[in-house]
Amino acid sequence: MKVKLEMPEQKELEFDRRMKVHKMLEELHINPESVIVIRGGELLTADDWAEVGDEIRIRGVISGG
Amino acid sequence: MGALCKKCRERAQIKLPRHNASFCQKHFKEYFFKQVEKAIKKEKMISPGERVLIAVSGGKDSLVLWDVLRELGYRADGLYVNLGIGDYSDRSEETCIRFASSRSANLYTISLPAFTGGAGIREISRKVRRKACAACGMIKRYLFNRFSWEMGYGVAATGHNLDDEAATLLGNLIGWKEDYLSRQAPVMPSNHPRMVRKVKPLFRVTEKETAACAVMSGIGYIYEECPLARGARSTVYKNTLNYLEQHSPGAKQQLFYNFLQKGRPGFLQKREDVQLQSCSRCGQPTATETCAVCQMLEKIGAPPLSLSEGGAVKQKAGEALAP
Repeated sequence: MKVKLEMPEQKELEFDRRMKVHKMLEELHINPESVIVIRGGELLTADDWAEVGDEIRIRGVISGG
Repeated sequence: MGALCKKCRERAQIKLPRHNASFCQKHFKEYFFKQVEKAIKKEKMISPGERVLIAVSGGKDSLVLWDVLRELGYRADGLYVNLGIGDYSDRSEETCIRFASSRSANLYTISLPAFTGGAGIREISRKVRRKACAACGMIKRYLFNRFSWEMGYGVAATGHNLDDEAATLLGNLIGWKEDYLSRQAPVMPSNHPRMVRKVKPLFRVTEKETAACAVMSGIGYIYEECPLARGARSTVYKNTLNYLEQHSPGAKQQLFYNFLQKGRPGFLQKREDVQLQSCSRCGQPTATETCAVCQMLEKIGAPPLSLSEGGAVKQKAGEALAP
């Protein structure tokens, strides 16, 4: 699965197995409070599975300044 | 199986541990709108029929606020101030124009460099030897108040959310800034004939909830950071509060709501009231003879600001623009 980070710095990652969103965030050391996880036009919760063929965007929600 | 919506048992798109609830798109938006309406009603932010001006930046908070207020039936227009921060400002302005156009909403834009002989925030802050964010905040607040007042808006709204308020509070507590602590509130009443009431209708919703609402409402927003705000202290406070929130859901709201209910009254009692006067150059409220923005303009050799001159203000009626 392709994972695009928009934190807002952009970075692309690949995972070769299905995994739960909370596990993915844990591996990336990302606090679930600080992001939304998007697949297509829909949001995923921490309990959802991200599947092998998915394209996932993890977008930071913290605005600075 | 993922989480299910608390209301309809369909697949949930968002979990809100602080409310011990999960919601599908429809019921999350219902929840979000209710929180905003509750904030407005409980804090008496906007009277029925009153015109509201919203300071929009192209970011998620201000655009979601504008969208929600319009959906709730408020007469809300937008004001975008182009601060001359290169491509970043231009992309932000385009984002606001696109949004206004898609909703047939009225957007005003003000170009700061048009008043300053081409200088943007970066150049101004260098010349007056202030931090960019401090100069920027001061100029934005000034223009927002002055424009709202000159255009006859009774109330001016910003997109500050619960995370913004909790982070500001944490910073003010760490520095024990009693004066700021006495002023921090969802409503700032007018205390000068030329001061427009300021309100923060998103103070009950978090940054994550606002971003979720933007995506669910199909709002395209700028999520890149302002190039001048990198490394801002507020981000450190927000991350710290999110760590607390993750381990103790509801921590942010408890901190801010408890402060409003139990902490602020004490700071208000101790506060010494400063009598605001009118600036000798522009007439805007100030505690000194000449306001900080007029002093700044003087230092960079720019004339006093006149919003009715120079084509620096443009109105973009949503209806007249291509989608």
